[in-house]
Amino acid sequence: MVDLTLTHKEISELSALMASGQVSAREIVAAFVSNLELHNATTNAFIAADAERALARASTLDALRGTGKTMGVLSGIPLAVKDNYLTLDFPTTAGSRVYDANPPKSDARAVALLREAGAIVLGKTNMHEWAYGATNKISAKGPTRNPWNTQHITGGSSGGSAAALAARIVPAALGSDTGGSIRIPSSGCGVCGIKPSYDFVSREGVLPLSWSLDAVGPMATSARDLRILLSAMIDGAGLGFNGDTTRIPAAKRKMRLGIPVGQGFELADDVRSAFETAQKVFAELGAEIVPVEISEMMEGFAAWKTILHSEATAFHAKFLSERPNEYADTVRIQLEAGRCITAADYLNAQQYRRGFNHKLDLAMTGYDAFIYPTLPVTAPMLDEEALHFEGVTVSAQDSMTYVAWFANLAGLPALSIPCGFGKQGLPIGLMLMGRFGTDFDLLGLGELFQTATDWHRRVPALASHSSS
Amino acid sequence: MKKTPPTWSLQSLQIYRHSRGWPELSPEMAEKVVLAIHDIQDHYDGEVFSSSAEPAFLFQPMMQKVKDNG
Repeated sequence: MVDLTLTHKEISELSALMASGQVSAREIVAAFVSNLELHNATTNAFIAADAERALARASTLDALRGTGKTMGVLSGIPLAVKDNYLTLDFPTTAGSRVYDANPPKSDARAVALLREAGAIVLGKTNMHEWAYGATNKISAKGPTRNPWNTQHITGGSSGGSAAALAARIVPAALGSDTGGSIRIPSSGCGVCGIKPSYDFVSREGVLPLSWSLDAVGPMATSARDLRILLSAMIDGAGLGFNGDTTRIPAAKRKMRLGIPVGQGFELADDVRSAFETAQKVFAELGAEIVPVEISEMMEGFAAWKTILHSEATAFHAKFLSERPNEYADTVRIQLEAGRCITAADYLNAQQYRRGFNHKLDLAMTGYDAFIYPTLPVTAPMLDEEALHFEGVTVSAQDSMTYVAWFANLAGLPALSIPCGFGKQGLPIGLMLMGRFGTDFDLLGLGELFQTATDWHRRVPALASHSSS
Repeated sequence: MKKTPPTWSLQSLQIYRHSRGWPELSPEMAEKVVLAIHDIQDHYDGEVFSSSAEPAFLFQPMMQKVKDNG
């Protein structure tokens, strides 16, 4: 008999149960596979999965554990992989009809590292076509639906990974982030995700959207689990990290958190209310919270868009010439527009970027992190085209990347963790952004917040029947 | 801030595409592409963007700093 209560546990709890012999890897995988069968048709989170192979791998790991062999930190943990990571045992389509690569010679580096640590790949997750959008409405395999309310989007482009976590189909997932694509669906679906510092984790074997903005990173149901996953994903192929990945310095001294203010930081009322409550939590944990004026958000956004569209078009030039009609219209329109950006405009945007990042780094000096809601709104409905909040009207797409993009322009680490629910009962995410290379310090702040709150433990009604 | 005036029209887009040997877009698609170009150019200020004395963006100095310091 399958024990579905296992699907509500964090990675560290599952690992402890396996280590003590109370539960086998096969029992754990079987429980998550049950949720795959129960919830995938509703959410469309996975576009490929192989339950039998996952169960067989779990049995192999159980047999190894029985011999007394030292197991990896992720041994027996089911993993969902976004469909833009190359994998040896599943096709990779990037959510598109265009890409049909020959089987790769190896897994993407991040997938290989997680497999080495014992993770079991359950399947590939749905995504916004080519990661070129933040709603997950546009995919060759159909839209991903939010487990909290299936009439709403997940946010994207790693929406399948976020939905899989929220529906408790997996405890661990991979995403990629060019303007918020890990953090946006994490916020929309009430789970956790971190965009690491630029090149902290190797992008080798991950289909690009924009080489100088892209980052790959883990998603999970707690900041503690993100630490376990991120630690396992770092090696010499990326920037790497020479420091202590286990430190939580914030708890041991006075924290100083900045709140960015200025044009471009508008919020819906329910999101503002949850954010104010989150600030109080940090204040009670001893943080000093200081508003910090951030200027040039509009110029920075223009630079980000110019770079994004130029680099995406460069990567897609061949496909765009040979198979233009196989793109979704909304994706093709962006690529065709990108063809009209001049080299001078692209280089000017990159030139401006350096100054923008320098000013942002100065503004962040002396702060442990900047905190702000990941999204200005909760996840819109599938057919909602425009959103209105605090005097601004923006498209559903632009509402998703509203503040998330600038961590990519600056290459900074940024974490999203749940911090409440809006008036429609949908999750709200809190973004914590740190200076370059402070990824594990940010996770420490997230862990601290989650010692005082239980938002990350909430489960959508769709998956709550399996709670204990 | 100053916005860059729209620099692309339906006509200039099709002429440009023809000069590059790219297939002609349907009128509906071309109209949406022009709007998308304007959306990219919105808030793009060529004078501000090119006035910096800094060389074009590189992450390398920051990355080296983290490598050195751990």
